[in-house]
Formats: sequence, structure tokens, C-alpha cells
Amino acid sequence: MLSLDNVRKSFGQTTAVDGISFRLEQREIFGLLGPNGSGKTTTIRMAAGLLAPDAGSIEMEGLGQPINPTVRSRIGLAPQTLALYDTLTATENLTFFGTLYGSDRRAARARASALLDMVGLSDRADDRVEAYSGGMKRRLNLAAALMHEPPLVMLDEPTVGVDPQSRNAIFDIIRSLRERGTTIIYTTHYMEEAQRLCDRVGIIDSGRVLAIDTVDGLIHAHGGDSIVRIERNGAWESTPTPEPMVVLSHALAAEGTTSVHVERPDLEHVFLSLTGRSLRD
Amino acid sequence: MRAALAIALKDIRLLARDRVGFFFIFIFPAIFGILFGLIFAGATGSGPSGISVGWVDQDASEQSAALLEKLQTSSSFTITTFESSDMATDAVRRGQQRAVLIVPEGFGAAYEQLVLGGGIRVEGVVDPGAGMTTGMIEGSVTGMLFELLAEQFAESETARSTVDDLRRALAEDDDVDPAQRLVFSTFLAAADNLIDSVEQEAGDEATASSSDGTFSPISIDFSAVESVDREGPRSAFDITFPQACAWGLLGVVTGFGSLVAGERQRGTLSRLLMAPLSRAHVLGGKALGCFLTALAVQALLLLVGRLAFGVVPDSWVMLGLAVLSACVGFVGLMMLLAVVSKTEAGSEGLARAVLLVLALVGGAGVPLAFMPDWVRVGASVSPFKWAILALEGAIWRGYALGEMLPACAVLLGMGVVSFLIAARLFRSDTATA
Repeated sequence: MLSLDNVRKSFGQTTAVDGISFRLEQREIFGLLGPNGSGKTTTIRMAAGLLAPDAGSIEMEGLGQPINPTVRSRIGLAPQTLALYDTLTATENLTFFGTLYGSDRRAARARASALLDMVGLSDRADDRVEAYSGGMKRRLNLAAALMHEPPLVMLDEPTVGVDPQSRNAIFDIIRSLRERGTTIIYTTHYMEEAQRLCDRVGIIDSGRVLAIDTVDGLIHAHGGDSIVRIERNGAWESTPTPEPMVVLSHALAAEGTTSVHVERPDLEHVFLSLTGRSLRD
Repeated sequence: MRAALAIALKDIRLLARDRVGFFFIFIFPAIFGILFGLIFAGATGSGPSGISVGWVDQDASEQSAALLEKLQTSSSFTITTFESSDMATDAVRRGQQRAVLIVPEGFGAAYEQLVLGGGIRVEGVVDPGAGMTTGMIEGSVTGMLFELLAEQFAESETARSTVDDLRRALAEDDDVDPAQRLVFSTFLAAADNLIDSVEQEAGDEATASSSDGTFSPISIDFSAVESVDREGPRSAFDITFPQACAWGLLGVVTGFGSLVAGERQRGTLSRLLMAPLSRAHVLGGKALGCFLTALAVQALLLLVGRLAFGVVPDSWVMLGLAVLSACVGFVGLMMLLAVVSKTEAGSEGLARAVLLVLALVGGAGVPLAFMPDWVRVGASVSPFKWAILALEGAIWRGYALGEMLPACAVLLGMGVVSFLIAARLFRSDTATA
């Protein structure tokens, strides 16, 4: 669908993206997971054709480079900032964005209505965006990226600052998009989101991709051992092991065991294992 | 084109929903035009209100009464009579009067003795802050004094009596030099002949020199002066409405400038650039919205001026040319300010810092006629000067096309150059941001 090959981008002396390569498959949700300042947004902006890379190539298969407006029109972008007009209504916002892609007003309004229904904002369609909650704005921001029905959608931190209800609603929308054949690239620094949502995850830090795989594959490769905690005669013991079931069966057979607890590694373990524990800002 | 139009309409809608911005674009300029028009025209709107002038008559002659009558009937002055020069001077000191005219004893006699030398003298006391008003009063009163003199010769009976009086005074005065006496005698004889011929012509209606039959030897000159006067402003609103248009343009530039910067700040610029549009389309859409709004603002203000305050242009074609040129000039300026600014606050700050200064220097506040020479020269860098000049040229200066073109050319040039610079900056900015 889209491939990035050894892409680099610097701003002055700062290298934002340092040789990133990956390939998006059709109908997958690809997560780009990294700490703040790791280069996620710059990568997304280059992949969307908003920024030209200093080196390397970005190709939308069969079409060409996204810097070309025709290719770019096949991509929908929901930027991290809420790119909406506060003093326009939701319908006016979406209709305007639709007309930018050549839709006539009637078609744009119909599409806007369908999308507002999809993101659960139909009853607030004629309210100005300035009256919306953060979660509603996030959903509308997502809807705006879908106005021209792009086959590839890029979502840059789409759940920042939203409540659990809105987050779940956004997840449902993303899954339904995939079911309809849309390919999605999703940047986040929330491990739990990537683990729940993404088919594959690329972990990025300091402008480099450190690992790409399915969530299970990443955990298997980089998550480390499971930890089995056993309470025996009032005291807890912790045992790291790659085979937690074996340790668990021995513990249950032994006398004095009153409680057991298994901690399996998750994406956070993978992330910290790959990126270290030093603070980034 | 559809996308550019959509951008333009969206921007106009955004602007219309910004109440503060709407106020400064539409309401404030109208208030400026009306308020200052009323201040200069008087509450009735019938023309410039009179300069307050005190009057002290120490002569109490027929001529001083005639001068007072002229002053009182002039719309340029509001006359208050004082009993003494001290009282009148005090009123000036306290700011109640802008000036005082004191007619000294002998004023009337001076008229009768004018041919024998000497002169007609009127004293004046002015407020030190009156500035150009002093010159205006001086000019007007001098004109009235000449009118009195002309009127004295305009009626044959009065003229013959004056000539007889002068001949008698000449005969009784032994101090007059013989050469001068000869000159005066010849002059008075010629005056007699002139009066005779006027009386003869006055009897023949076909050759009457004026409609009411009075002798008016400088009436042709008067009509030429009246012709020039008609090209002047008909009321103060002719002056204040072009200024109001300038304030409207300032509001439009400020409003649209911050809208463009706001696109960048809120991230919607990314959405615009994501769409399959060239950067020229995006800029063109912004410029189109600004142009249409500027056009609407000026049309609305001039319509208010036309319907409510009688601001009628000498030429609608010239007015259209002036308005279009001003719109182009200010759209270019808006684009430049918008591209230079990174945030809405920055754009508004820049607009205040640059545009307000340019507006005030360009005569949008105080007309350039009241500015010192060096300001008037420096004002040439201000597009406000050229916009106001072009609008005035169409409304009351009676500009022909050749006179209108320089102002329009400057505005168009400023607009095009600013736009090209803005386009270049925008292109490089969005390519690397």
C-alpha cells in the first residue's frame, strides 16, 4: 500500500527522522509507537506528502510519491492538533473539507451527514465546534479525514485528551474502517491502545524504527520472561521464567502454597526494553 | 477554482462570525465616517459648522455693519458680538472663541479715503492653537472686505456719490502732491465715464451684464472661482467617508491576516495543503475572500454615505477604479502580513504596529492637508494615502483618468509586489515547515 525506504529528515542540526523504512499492507492497522519527540509526526507528515524527505523514498504502490497532489488525494490525515474551524458547525466543517476534494455541496453535505452519524455526532451536527467537548472534537477531527473516502488514513495521536467512552468509540470507528478495506496508520504513545488495536506495531525512537512485528511477535522477541509470584506460608516469591505454566504447576503441587500470580510481559515491557528508561521530551 | 472559491467563502463566513472582527470591519469605519462627518458638518449635516469668532465693533459705521452681516451669513463662521475688546479677548483665552475680530474706529472712513492712501484695517486676536484657522479667517475676511469695496462701486448711484466725495476730498486736501493730484483727477474722470456707460448699458436689458441688473465688473471672475469651488467637498462627509473606507480596509486586512495565521496555528493549514490543491490555489482562495470582503465593505460604506449623507461621487467609473485598486493593494498587503506572522496574536500585533502607523500617516485619521510637509512627503509609502486620494479623486476632487491613474497604479503595484513576495514566502515556508 505504502512503503518508506530509508527516509531521512532534519530540521537544522536536529535529525528528526534517521533512515526509517517500513511497508504498510492493505487493510491493516499499523501502529507507530514511540515516546514524545521520537519522530512519529514528522514521519506521518512525510508519508502524507506534507513534507519532502531529505533522503530516501516514499511510494504509494502503483501511484507514486505522496508529494504529488493526485497521490495525496488518496490519503486522509487526522492531525494531532484539532484541525477544525471552531466557529463553523460540524456540518459546515465537513462540507468545506469535502469541497476541497472536488465534491459539489450537495454530495459533500450527504457525505458529512453519513460521517457524523458514524462518529455519533448527528444530533450536534448544526452546533458550532466551539461548543463541543474534547472527545467530540476528536471524533469530528477523524471524520474530517474521511470526507473524501481515502483508502489510506493516517491518524496522528487520535485519542489525546479524550475520555474512555470517546476512545472506545474511536477504536470502533477505526476497526469498522478496516473492515471496509481501509488501511490505517496510527501513531500513539499509549501502549494499551497499540496492543488493543494494531495488527502490527513499529516501535520508533530517536527517528529510527527499532522493531516491527505483530504485538505477540514483539512480546515474544523483546518482552522478556514472565514472572510467576507465589505466596507460600505468608511470604511472596518471584520467579522469572520463559515457561510460566511449568513453574505454576510445580507451585500448585507444593505444600504451603496459598496464592499464585502470573505477570506476562506486555508491549510496555517491549517498549521499555527497546527504548530504555531515560526521560524524553 | 471551486476549491479556491470554497476557501474564500469559508473565510468570509469565519470573519462574519467573529463579532469583534466584524465590528472593526463594518461598524467602526461607518461610525468613524458618520461621527467625524457630524463633528465637522454640525448636527444638521448641512456643511462645515462655523468657526466661533468674536466681534467687536468700535466704529459703528455703515461699512462695519455690512461686514458683520457678511460674517453672520457665512456658514464658515459663528459670530458672537462683544461690547469690548477685553471681554472678547478673554473669551478667546478661555477657549470659548477661536478668534476675535476688532473693527477699530475709522474703519468706515478708511473706505471713503481709500483712494487717497492709507488702508482698511481690522484687528484680530486668535487662539494660539488655532493653527491653520488663522489663515482661513484672514483669507475669508479679506475676501469680504474686497466684496464690500466692489459692492460700493457696483451701484451707480453709490459709486457716483463716492467719486464725488473723493473729488471733493481731493480738492480740499492741500498736502497732495501735484503729480498725484493729476493722476487721481484723471482716475476720477475715468470713473465718471465708466459709471455713465454702466448706466446706459443698465437701461438696455439685452446687454445687461448680470441677471439682476446690478453692475458687477468682476462677476465673470466670480463664476470661474465658483467652478473651482464646486470641485471641492460638498460636505464634511465627502472627506470622512473615504477615510472610513480606509479604516474598513484596515479592518479587513487585520481580520484576514489573523485568519491565515490562525490556519497555521490550529492545524487547518495542513488540511488545506493535504487537499489536491496547489499552494497557489490556497493563496488565491485566501486572496479572493479578502478581496470580496474589502469590496463589500467599501460598497457598504459608500452606500451608507450616499443614502444617508449625500456622498455622491463626481464619477462612478472613477470610483469603481479607485475601489478596485484599493482592494487589490490591500489584499496584497494582507497576504504579506499573514505569511510573515506565525500566530494569530502575532498577526494582530503586526497589523496594529504597521497598519495603524501607515493609516495615521496616510491621512486616515487626520487629513493629510493638516499634516506638516515632512509627514505629507513620508505618507507616500502608505497605501492608505493613495487609497484615500483615489477615493477623494472620484468623490470630490473631480479627477480625470490621467489624474486618477498614478494613485491607482501605486495601489496596484503595492498589491502585486506584496502578493508575489507573500507567495514566495508561503511556498518556501510550507515546503520546509
